[in-house]
Amino acid sequence: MPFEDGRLGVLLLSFASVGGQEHQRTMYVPVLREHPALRLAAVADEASAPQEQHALNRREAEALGLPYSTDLDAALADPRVDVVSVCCPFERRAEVIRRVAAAGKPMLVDKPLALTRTDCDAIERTVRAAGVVCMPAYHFRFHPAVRSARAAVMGGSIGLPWGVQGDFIIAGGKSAWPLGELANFGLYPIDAIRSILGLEVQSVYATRGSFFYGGDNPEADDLSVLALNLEHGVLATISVGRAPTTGHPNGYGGDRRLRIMGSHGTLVVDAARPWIQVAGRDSHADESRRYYGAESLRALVDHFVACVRGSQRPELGPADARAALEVILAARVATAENRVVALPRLADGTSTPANPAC
Amino acid sequence: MSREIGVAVVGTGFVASMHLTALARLPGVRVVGVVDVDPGRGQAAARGAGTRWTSSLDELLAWPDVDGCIVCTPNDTHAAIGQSIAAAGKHLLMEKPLTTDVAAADSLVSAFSARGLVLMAAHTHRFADYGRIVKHTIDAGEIGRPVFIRLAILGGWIWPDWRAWVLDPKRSGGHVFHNGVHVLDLATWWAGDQPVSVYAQGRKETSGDLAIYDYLSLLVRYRSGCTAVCEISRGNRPRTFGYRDVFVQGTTGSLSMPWDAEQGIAFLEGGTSLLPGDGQVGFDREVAAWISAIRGETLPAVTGEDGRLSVAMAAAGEASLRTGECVTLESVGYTLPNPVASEGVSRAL
Ligand SMILES: NC(=O)c1ccc[n+]([C@@H]2O[C@H](COP(=O)([O-])OP(=O)(O)OC[C@H]3O[C@@H](n4cnc5c(N)ncnc54)[C@H](O)[C@@H]3O)[C@@H](O)[C@H]2O)c1
Repeated sequence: MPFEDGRLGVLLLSFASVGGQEHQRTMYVPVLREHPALRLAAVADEASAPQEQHALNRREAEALGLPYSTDLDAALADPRVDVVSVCCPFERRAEVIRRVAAAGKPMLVDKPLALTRTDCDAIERTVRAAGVVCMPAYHFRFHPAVRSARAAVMGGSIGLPWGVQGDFIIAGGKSAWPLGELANFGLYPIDAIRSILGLEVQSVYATRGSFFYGGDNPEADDLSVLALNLEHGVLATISVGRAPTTGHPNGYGGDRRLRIMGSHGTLVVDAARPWIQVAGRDSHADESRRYYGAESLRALVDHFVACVRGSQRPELGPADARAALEVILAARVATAENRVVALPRLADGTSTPANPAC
Repeated sequence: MSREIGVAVVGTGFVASMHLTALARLPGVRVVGVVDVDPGRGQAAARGAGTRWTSSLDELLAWPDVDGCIVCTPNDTHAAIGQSIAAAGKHLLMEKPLTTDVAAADSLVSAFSARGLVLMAAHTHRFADYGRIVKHTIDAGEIGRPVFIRLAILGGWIWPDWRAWVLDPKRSGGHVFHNGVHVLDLATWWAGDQPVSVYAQGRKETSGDLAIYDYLSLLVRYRSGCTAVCEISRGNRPRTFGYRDVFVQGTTGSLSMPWDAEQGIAFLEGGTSLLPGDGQVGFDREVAAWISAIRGETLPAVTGEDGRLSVAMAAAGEASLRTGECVTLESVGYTLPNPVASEGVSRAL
């Protein structure tokens, strides 16, 4: 039941730090709080969450002037809660999502949705059975640059697409994500390419390394390069990572580009656009180009709200998270074994043919 | 004043005219003759350059005033012509690719180093302004050590018609040999690293009946962990497409050269393109570097070893296209250069 002003009430489910990143506080709350169709209603977490987590959740709730509950089912049953923003650790996520789905509440879920096939499949099954919207926050596909490329491809402007070349290298940050930037950021360009082309990846070759942030965690890759073979012999390469290029003119956004090549034309898309370039006596090179387009996470939330209200059908769900996860898992094997890895299945469950590149 | 250097040009087609122009601009250099199996083309080129023509390479090599040759013939002829030139004791600037297989490249490099002769592979892009500024920026340490290189040179202009020898993989070696070596060599030069393997993806866009891939994406893995994605294309659309893209991520910074970085943009009735640049400048520098190496003033800017390495990368790329797998340079028969032999070349200079 929405608030009297017609806004949907949002339950913030945990402020967990996932691999050192506090997305609920830094990413989701700013967008959810400003959204004209939403209103923050409460903060909650599972009673079994660690004490420090409860303490952190409580502090964040107080800062936002919201009530905090450790009785998750009661919080989910609260009629002022219409939708949920899930940001709990991966180990608890499938179970938490099961409870949200059981309460019949649509949810936005932090990315990556899950780290394993088992969790991803469990999530997909529960939300399908419950018939609730479960949208992983893979917002890059909603970036206006990606959106316009998708519209152009779907409108036939470049004919039949046959190749994509993409870079997704974020500039800055103190360290690489402990589970690797391939798992952290890789899903964005993979998901965007799937969204633009409407094709599935069939096999992967990849290289992967820790070049910038060092450390002794071999999983914490900070730059990977993937070569993908998609349906219909479409090929793609993607570089993905995080580099300490803090003086980048695009700021933290770094290099996020896609070139889409087709039988009748070529699209060159840059997520740093639209930008204005600013130079002054005291200005630094860093962020001399300022993006002034729509925020992609906000666009994802718009779509989420429209789906909750029933005016749009979700175009993004656990199956998309699963598809991106398959590519990432295959890329890890490809790197470790220095070979091309065929994905175990297509979205419809059929097995993949041999590498179409040969 | 240094001695005049006599140069002969073998093959007088498209690229020979660039070399002849470069030669004409160099002081202390004389074009002493040209050879072509096609009398019409050979004679026309000889007339244009004010020099002699013959249809016989042996005859040309017997002329006393030939110090070195620039070979501008189709790729499959390079190995045999190169061996004749080595046997005649002449220096060589060999158009790319050095040869169309690794074993032939090995023996060509040995033939020249054994005789202390200059063998330079014509990887022209190293002499172009854009190739040099990227190399200079990397070598100055401004972006740290390169860990990812993206280099794309894309066009939509397929070779004229089905008679073009380039379309025949038996003559050109395939597109990885023919143009792939440009980007493979350049990225490797920028990386300053030893390539280990190539994973190639290709498309036949202009016609399904092509025997070569008109579009190529070549992923090179280097010993230090650096990765390069090198694209070369004659299969993009529109046909007037001319696109070059450079991006290098280093350990401490990055550099990028957007497609329109080099020239003004022309918005015309027929579409949008860049104003033409000076395509001759790279050839001028390349020929000058070769002449300077012949004179013993400098080491060859591009060595026979560099050419041999590109041939190995191309062979790995072509094998990858056939198998769909990542192919190591070792598996196509490439061995690391013999340091003693390379030293011999420098001493000879
Ligand atoms: N560096 C560059 O940027 C660049 C550009 C274009 C071509 N190339 C290379 O230059 C070479 C020539 O290419 P092109 O485009 O000028 O080709 P082309 O077909 O225009 O010219 C080749 C010429 O060689 C002659 N020829 C063939 N076999 C011969 C033989 N056995 N002896 C003497 N002459 C012979 C032909 O009659 C023809 O005139 C190729 O190896 C190519 O890969 C390099």
